[in-house]
Amino acid sequence: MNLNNLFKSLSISASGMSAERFKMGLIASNIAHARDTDTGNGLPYRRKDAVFATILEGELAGGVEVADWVEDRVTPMQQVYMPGHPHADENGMVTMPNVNPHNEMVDMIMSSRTYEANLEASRIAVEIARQALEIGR
Amino acid sequence: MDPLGPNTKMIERALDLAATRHRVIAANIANVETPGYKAKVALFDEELDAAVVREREGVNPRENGNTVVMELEMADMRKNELVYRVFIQSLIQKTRIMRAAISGGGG
Repeated sequence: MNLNNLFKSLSISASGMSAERFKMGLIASNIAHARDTDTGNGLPYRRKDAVFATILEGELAGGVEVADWVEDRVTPMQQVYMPGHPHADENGMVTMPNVNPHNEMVDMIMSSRTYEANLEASRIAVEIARQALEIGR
Repeated sequence: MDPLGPNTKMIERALDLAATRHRVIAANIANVETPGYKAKVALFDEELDAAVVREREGVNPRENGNTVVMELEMADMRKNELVYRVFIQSLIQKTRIMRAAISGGGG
C-alpha cells in the first residue's frame, strides 16, 4: 500500500497552517498600528494583506504559500479632525491608517478557523495511516 | 490465485483512491483563500484503472474566483475517512481468515 499520498497530505496541511499563521501576523500588525500616524517616514501606516498562491511543484504540490504581502492602496485613509495633533495639517486634519479594527477581527477569526480546518485535515491523515497499520496486527 | 481472495485488488484500489482523495481535500482546504483556486475532486477512472483528479463542477465561484466550499470539504473528508476505515476492516478480516487457515483454527 502507498502511504505517499498521506504524507503529502500532511505537508499540504502544514503549508496551509503556516500561510494562515503568516496572515494572522499581518492582521495583528494591522490592529497594533491602527492609529499609527508616523511609521518613521512621516507617513501613516497602511494596512497589509497576504497574497496566497498555490504551490505547483515539488513535495508540497497542491499546497499553499504566501507569495507576497502587499500594502492596501484601495481602502481610503481616514481623515480625522485633531488640531492639536503634531501630525495635523494646516486645516487640523490628521491622516489616520486605513485599518478598520472590526474588519481585522473578522479576518482574524476566519484565518484562525481555516488554521483549525487544516489541523483537522492533518489529524485525519494520521488517523487513516494508523488504521492502515492495524492490518499487520 | 491471490491468497487473500479475488477482491483484494479491488480493496487496494479503493484504499489508494481514498488516500488520493484525502490529499486532494487537504489541498482544497489549504487553498480556501487562494484567489482563482478551483476546488478539485479525486475520481476513479475505469478505463485508466487509476484515480484521476478533476475540477469540482457545479460550484459558483466567490468574487476572487475561488470555488472551495469549506463545509463541503469537511463533509467529504469525514465521509472519506469512514470509507477508508470500512475497506481496511475488510482487509483485516481477510487476513484473520488467512491466519485461522494457517494455524488450523486453533488460534
